[in-house]
Amino acid sequence: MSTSTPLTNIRIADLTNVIAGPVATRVLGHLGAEIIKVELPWGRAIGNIAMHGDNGDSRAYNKVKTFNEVNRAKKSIAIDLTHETGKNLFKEIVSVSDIVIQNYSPRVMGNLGLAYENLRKVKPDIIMVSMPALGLEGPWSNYISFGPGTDALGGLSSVTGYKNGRPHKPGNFYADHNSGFHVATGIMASLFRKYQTGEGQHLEIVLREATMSVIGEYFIEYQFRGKEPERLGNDHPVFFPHGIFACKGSDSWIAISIESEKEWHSLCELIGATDLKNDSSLVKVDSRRLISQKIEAQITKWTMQRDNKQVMHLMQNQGIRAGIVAKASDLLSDEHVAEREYLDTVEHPDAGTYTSPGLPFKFSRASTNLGVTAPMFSEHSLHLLSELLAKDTETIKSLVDLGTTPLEPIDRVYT
Amino acid sequence: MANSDLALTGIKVLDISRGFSGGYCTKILRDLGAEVIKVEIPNSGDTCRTFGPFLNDIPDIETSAPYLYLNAGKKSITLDVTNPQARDTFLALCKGSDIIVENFKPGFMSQINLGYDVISAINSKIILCSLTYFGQFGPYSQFEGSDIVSYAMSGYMHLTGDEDKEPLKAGGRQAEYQCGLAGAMSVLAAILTRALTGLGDHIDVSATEALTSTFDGVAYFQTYDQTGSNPMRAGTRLIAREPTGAYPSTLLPCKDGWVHVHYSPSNPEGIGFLTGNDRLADDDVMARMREHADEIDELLIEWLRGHTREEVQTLAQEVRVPFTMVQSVEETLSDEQNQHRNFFVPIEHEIAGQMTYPTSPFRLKTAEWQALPAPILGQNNHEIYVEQLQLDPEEISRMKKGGIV
Repeated sequence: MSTSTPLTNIRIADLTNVIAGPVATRVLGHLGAEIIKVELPWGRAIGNIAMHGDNGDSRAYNKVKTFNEVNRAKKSIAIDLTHETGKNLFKEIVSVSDIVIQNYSPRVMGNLGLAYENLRKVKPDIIMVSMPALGLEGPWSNYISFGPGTDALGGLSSVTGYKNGRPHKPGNFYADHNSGFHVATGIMASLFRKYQTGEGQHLEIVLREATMSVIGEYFIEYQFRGKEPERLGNDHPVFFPHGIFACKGSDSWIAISIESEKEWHSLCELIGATDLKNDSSLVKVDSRRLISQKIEAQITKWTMQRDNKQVMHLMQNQGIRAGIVAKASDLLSDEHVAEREYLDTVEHPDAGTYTSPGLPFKFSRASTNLGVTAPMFSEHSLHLLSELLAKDTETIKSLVDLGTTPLEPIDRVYT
Repeated sequence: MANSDLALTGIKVLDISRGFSGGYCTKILRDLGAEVIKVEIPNSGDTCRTFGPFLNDIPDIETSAPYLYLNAGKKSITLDVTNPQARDTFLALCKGSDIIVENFKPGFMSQINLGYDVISAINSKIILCSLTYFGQFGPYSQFEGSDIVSYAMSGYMHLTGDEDKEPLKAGGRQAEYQCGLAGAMSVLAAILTRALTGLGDHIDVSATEALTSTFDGVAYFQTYDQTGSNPMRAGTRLIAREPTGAYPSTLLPCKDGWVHVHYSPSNPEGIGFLTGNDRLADDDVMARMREHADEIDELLIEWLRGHTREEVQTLAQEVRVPFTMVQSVEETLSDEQNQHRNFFVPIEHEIAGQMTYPTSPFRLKTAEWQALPAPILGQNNHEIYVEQLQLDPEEISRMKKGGIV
């Protein structure tokens, strides 16, 4: 049976930069939408960082790794939005698009004359998406923050950390991806509403609000207890044992969480801790906590003699919740990850082959289009100008020559 | 109360899941306007009701903090879907629903003869969203999971924490939240597919994959591919950056706590200007920022020492430098930006009393977020069973006695 992607025939004009915005449209691209990434004529925003150390490689701008990861399954056109010709060209794209998305700070779109009110005149049912760090309005609306900064302002850093330690954060760009996925969800909901009512809208999803939403229970907890939640490290407020244990080898660990009496007994039996198993008082978690060090030492003594994958299988065979603390190499060679075809490996003409996370869901019927690389800078400009916007050869040449739509990043000095 | 300005007005969701992942999935659908009916186990309810903390620290199925947060505005009916005698009632509910969200172990729904084949035979438009720790198929699909196990197996844990300490789990239940978020995202995609094809879908979401999907794959996979060795956790800094990579991005101490300091590509000289320290805008440092990370930290700490978090944030933001405060839960609850946006609103719950709840990142300008409390267990039994399904009230009380409702 032939299948369809969920977003067939949906076109998105994408002005987003860095990570959170591109992640949102990356998902929508993998779900079948045509993503027209409108790039800055002077190169890739996130690329400025890498370009800093450009060693003279040709077309280094096409090799910006983070760009290539978060912009898979998109098309690229470069447009100078600061000039009138560029603005008009962008509006022409908007007139044939369903969605416009941007993650500039709140003032930028208005300053460019491309605010929702302006774009709505071009396409009355357009869905416009803004994804500011802290909100389009309010005393902090003009503050700049990247993902990790919203972890800090939203309380996630405060509840993350080792026991009695300082505030911490989840590895790299958690808040960016988290908000990107919320945005993709919100966009699809707005599209559904447009199917029902014919109306577009201005959708605002705030990065920090997405962060606060995935720790929502802490805000109620604070009100119940009148004090700050403690940083628990790898402990659980109720279950014990709960945490990670060292295994054979360097920096090798297993995560275990014991949540029932049955699991406790299975664990004791597996590690040969008959003294613990026979002590009926230890059926109670609170009693176990009294001798926590002894219990943890006994588990570690057993796990240290074994490879963490072996420990995982031995424990899971006994119905114990256990899993390795996976490293990149573990995931890249894991039989489960492979059988589920989770990872997305693609080939880029300039950047070569690279592997990235795939989609976090699988459909039984609908299809997706993984396996599509990120576009090269301005790769689709000529095609989009001639096919989508029906420009003649002469007009296209002049747009390119003027630098409105450069085919390579250009240096430009404004006076 | 229906609100036609919300995106999912008219969509009906049957939530037979337990705990955080399904709870967050259907919270999102509810916030977007869907009617969510939680189908809970008679007497004890969703297992989330047993998770603390509770009001006054007294365990009570009506005052669990996570339950109250995740289920605001949903309806609750009781039905033991695993009991064969509940089958007809459950299938009648399926007939009138658009979406079912479940998080039993893979295969369990088929074992109780309520697999996707059975449900879709009754309602071909139905979208069944299955949330699990490891997915519906694959060698680990029958593994036992939990939030920390998924956090570990996703790869995230190895890269969270300090280099000289054991790997660290993020606060809260991030694997289960990401599972719920991926569930909601996929349900929306399936609703749009259905609008094209008229057919539903069975969705397979793995909490472990959902969390891996929030990876910076460049630092995680591509570094390994290139160097042949695994990237290492780096405290609060970004991991696995080239010597020329941007810096800072980390948490540093100041006069009264911690701040998040971050480099801005559009304002490279900003940090030097803010601190008045030329070394922080020096070409030599700027060209190889990551290599100079320790020095940058030291110089910044020297400046930060003289300022409170609030001063740091205000002074930095005035000159377009993205430094932000590390706020406690209490501070986040009451900061001026959240107040201005009414992100937290009071809701009165008949047993838990009045409290301030996070609203939702999905708040439309055209429609207010519906500030309603989480349901009391079985609160909507009469409405759903008698008024909507038009079941005989005597039949209902018979089922109640049998522990089915």
